[in-house]
Amino acid sequence: MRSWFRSEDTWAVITGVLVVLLGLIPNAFGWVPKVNEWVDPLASVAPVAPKVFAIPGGVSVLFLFVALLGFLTFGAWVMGHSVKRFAIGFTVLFAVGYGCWVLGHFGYIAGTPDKLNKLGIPWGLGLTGEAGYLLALASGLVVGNFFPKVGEWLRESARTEWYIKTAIVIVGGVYGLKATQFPEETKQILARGLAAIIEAYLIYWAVVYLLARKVFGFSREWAAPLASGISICGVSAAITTGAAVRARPVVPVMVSSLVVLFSVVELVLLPLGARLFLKDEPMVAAAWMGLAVKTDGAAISSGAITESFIYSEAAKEGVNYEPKAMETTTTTVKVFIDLFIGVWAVVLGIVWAYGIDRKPGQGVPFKDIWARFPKFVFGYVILFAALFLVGLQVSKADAKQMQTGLEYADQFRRVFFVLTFFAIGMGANLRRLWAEGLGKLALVYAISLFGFVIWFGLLVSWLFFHGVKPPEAKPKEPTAVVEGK
Amino acid sequence: MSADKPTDATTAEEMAKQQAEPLLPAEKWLIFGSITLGLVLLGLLLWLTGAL
Repeated sequence: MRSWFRSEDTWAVITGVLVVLLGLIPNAFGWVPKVNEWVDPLASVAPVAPKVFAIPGGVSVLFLFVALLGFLTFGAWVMGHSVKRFAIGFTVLFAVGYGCWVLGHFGYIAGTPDKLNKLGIPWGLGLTGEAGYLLALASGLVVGNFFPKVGEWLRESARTEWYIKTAIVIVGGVYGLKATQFPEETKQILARGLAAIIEAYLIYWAVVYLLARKVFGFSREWAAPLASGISICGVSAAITTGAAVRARPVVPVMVSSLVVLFSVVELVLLPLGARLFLKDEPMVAAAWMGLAVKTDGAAISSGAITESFIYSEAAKEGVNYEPKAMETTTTTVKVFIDLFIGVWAVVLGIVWAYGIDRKPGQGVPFKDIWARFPKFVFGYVILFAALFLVGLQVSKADAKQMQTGLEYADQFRRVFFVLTFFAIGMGANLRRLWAEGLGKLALVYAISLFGFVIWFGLLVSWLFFHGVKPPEAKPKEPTAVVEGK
Repeated sequence: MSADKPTDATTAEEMAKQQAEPLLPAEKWLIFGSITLGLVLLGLLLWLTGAL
């Protein structure tokens, strides 16, 4: 069997492409479980299409487990891993990982202020469901550090690279189609989205990388994922670009854990700041959330919270804005930034292969570059381009149906991420991580985020959005007039 | 990558004796090229959208 077919890069592309293609078949993944923020445990998990698949949440989780176990064990067999150890290990990995994902959605942990009423609880830590990633990481750290023999035994199934790269390929398909989903909003804020891309990739990244390398003395391996985590989209960016520069898996995952923690702080502080200082500039505030708050969940939650704050202030003065206008802006800015993670990973992969890992005095043979190049990025780029082009060609109804299917498929991406976090936590030695300077990592993160990224993001948001107001909601016609008609 | 993963002891040793990595020309090009291009493009975009 050819060696390329036995690589995790290849299997990540195969797995990711298969998930996306199956997702395009209507309701093919309607049975896949989705975790909701919950207070009643019985309401925590349900199929993504409960009207089509009226099965209990637990059964849909079981289906998901069996499907993943079967396919991944086959892949592990092709790659030459021990089938028995992989299958048993994956069972444990899935049980713990998915358990953490569900627990992370517990209302008192995940609940953000805009969702507390719906959950019927007075308070919540506001960590969003992405707290599940942190719990998975923490669980992995406990297993790896306090039960090292168990961790060693599970190592066969902890295929970090495979899981990470599969998730990234799935992201390519999902975002490719999503880019065609908001035609009007996309037209209106195209320039703002482009500005966000320029800002995040060309300015934030470069400044944070320079700070990490020159001031804090980080190695390239740490500085690149760190710069990506702070500058771009947090978790996805750190992991994708970490793979592009061939950083050890532990590096982007530790950066990602910081991203999630800091995004919580941002989620609390930035909407409050916007309420105090930007109540007359709603669209500046909305774009600022998309530019400054890391992780999609936290950014979009921040947009929603900020909208509720600013709309309520405006309503006191008799102005009622169209609902969701700010939240849509935040989401679009964030999605625009997300879209270019793969492109930036390709850029960094080329710079690293040609300019940094290249040996002096030697040419760089194509074969060598190809060997170093993270090939899963092609899976991301090709899938993104294909879905984008298809989305432009098909009818609105078909695109909507495809989008729904891909949102179902996106649940796999979340599962692969949570498996990744658990697997890497399990492989991380805490003492070793301390030696590698996690405290210093947090310091450079805090300085970059609160000293530069937030303020520059505010400046650019103001430049592009000041004076722009959300459309006002159409007033409801008096009942008498309606009856008169 | 995992096959080449060093042991904890090896990594700790490597980290301890790790020397500062000077900025390579490729890194300088990446950093300053990015910032310059970013500022120029932001200005151009502002001009194009008539925001200035």
